Amino acid sequence: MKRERGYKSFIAVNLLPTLILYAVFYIYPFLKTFYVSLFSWRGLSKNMKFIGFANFAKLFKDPIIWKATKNNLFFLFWGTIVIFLFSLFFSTVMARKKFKEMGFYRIVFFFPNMLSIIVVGLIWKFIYNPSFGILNTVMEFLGLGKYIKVWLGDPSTVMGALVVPQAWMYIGFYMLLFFAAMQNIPEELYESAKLDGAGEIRQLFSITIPLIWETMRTAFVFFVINAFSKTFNLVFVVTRGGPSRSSELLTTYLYQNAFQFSDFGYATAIGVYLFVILFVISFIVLKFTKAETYEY
Amino acid sequence: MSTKKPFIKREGKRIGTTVSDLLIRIVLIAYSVIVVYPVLWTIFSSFKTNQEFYKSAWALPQGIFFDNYRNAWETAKIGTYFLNSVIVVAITVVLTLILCATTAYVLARFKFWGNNFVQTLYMSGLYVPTILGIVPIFLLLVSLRMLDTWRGLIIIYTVFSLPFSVFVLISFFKTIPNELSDAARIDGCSEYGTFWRIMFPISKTGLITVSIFNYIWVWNDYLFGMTFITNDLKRTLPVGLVRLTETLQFKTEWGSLFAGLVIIMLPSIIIYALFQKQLTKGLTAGSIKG
Repeated sequence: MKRERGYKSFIAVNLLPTLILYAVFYIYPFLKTFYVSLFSWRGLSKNMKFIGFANFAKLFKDPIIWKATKNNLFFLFWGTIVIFLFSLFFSTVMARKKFKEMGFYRIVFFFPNMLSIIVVGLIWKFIYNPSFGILNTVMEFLGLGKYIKVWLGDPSTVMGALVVPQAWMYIGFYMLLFFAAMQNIPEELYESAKLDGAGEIRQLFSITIPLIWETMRTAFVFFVINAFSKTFNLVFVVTRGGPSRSSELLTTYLYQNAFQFSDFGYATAIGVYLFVILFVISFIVLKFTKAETYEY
Repeated sequence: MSTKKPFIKREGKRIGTTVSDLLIRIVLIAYSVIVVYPVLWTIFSSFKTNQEFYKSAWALPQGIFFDNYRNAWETAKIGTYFLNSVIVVAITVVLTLILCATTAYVLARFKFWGNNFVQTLYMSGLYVPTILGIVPIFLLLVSLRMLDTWRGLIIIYTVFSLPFSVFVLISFFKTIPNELSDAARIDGCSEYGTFWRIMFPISKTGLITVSIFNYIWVWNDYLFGMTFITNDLKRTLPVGLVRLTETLQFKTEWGSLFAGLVIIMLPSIIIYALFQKQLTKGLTAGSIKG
């Protein structure tokens, strides 16, 4: 099909304004993070002093960085286990069982994704509240009174207590992703598996999971970013990194350095460190979970 | 969940299936309660007086006590924050819609030098945590005199909505058959006419899905709203709400806080009720497969 001269200008008009905005407000700040991390720069003063990798040297000696890294990995590890187990279970049930009320569960389970993490955080703060929180009330009712703790105020329980709202919020999202992928699996595969005598669990591991493997990998990479990035809001609202930094994250520490201590050089160095960790984890995960793609 | 399968085989299909179905249903219902109950509790609490709340935080409200809403809306300035948020979110969603639709359309359906590179640029944005560039963005807004303005905030929200929106819409535009745009061109439509009169309206499902996702994150965002707006009267709702909790911690009047939580949830509940089919359909339409 012949296209007139307007073709090229049409592409430019549609593409360029957006691309320029994106370059200025997204790509440029991203790259500048790497640049600023090489400077000593306090506040909005003009004098940036080039100090090479000194910020990184400081970073590796900073015990709070290690604590924060450990907490981020805690979120990643337990978040993955809880969220992927539940979402996989729910999506499998929804794809394989034909309950009348399945649509209702789907709508309800996804709903927390509509809420602000602020709302989720505050609601869970009330659930954990030591004087009137429902968790302790229920535990007492069940005779588990002696296990009651100040969940968010105790360094040994605070991280676990923060993973739960995180899971509560995101299980529905991953459930929907997996469910969508499962819808594409042809029913005949299950039919013939049944004829061969394979039970539901067998079908899950030899049909469902291999066929949605690509979706699961993509979802997992997104979850890695999520565990390092979106957890910021939750922690910032619920505990502010406390008690005594026991729930500090790399992101909350970055934010504190940037906007409380005005130490832009160190804050961006934390950002670069965070990015490298993310990159390495995603790379390793994608490399080691590669499987042959199934055509169906 | 996983232990009852061998049991089915031995005990005969019908009873086994009924039992396992029952167990699965119990799990599903239990989880529904875990999701719904805290939200309902928030709504109930927003209608309680302070004395009621302290007498029993878990009882139903004795009447409908609307003063919490009046206090939240007026005294705690939730009304102002709400309107601020509405303005910021509405402009962001519309602006993003125009920018990402035009971009995705060209990237999905036109061959030109650099197409793949531009797509990669947008896609890599999906893998970057939002907080990473926050210091340079802050400095950029300062030097452009856009700190503490809605303009600046809206631009940042829009730009950060692009990777996901472009990503979803590219796969959407690819599914539209060529015959349609070809026919429009034969009928004498310009490229612009073809896009705005035919392709744009026909992609309604994709555009709505993208807009809902953008609404969700911008309406609920805390990080950028907190960092780039410092003037109290310009604050967005999530930031205003967190401020409210901070002041309430010393006054312990939870009623207006719960009212505030309900106010921020309400638009999302309405949008979810109206569009949830479209939302699931949009997610299912192969958008995340690539």
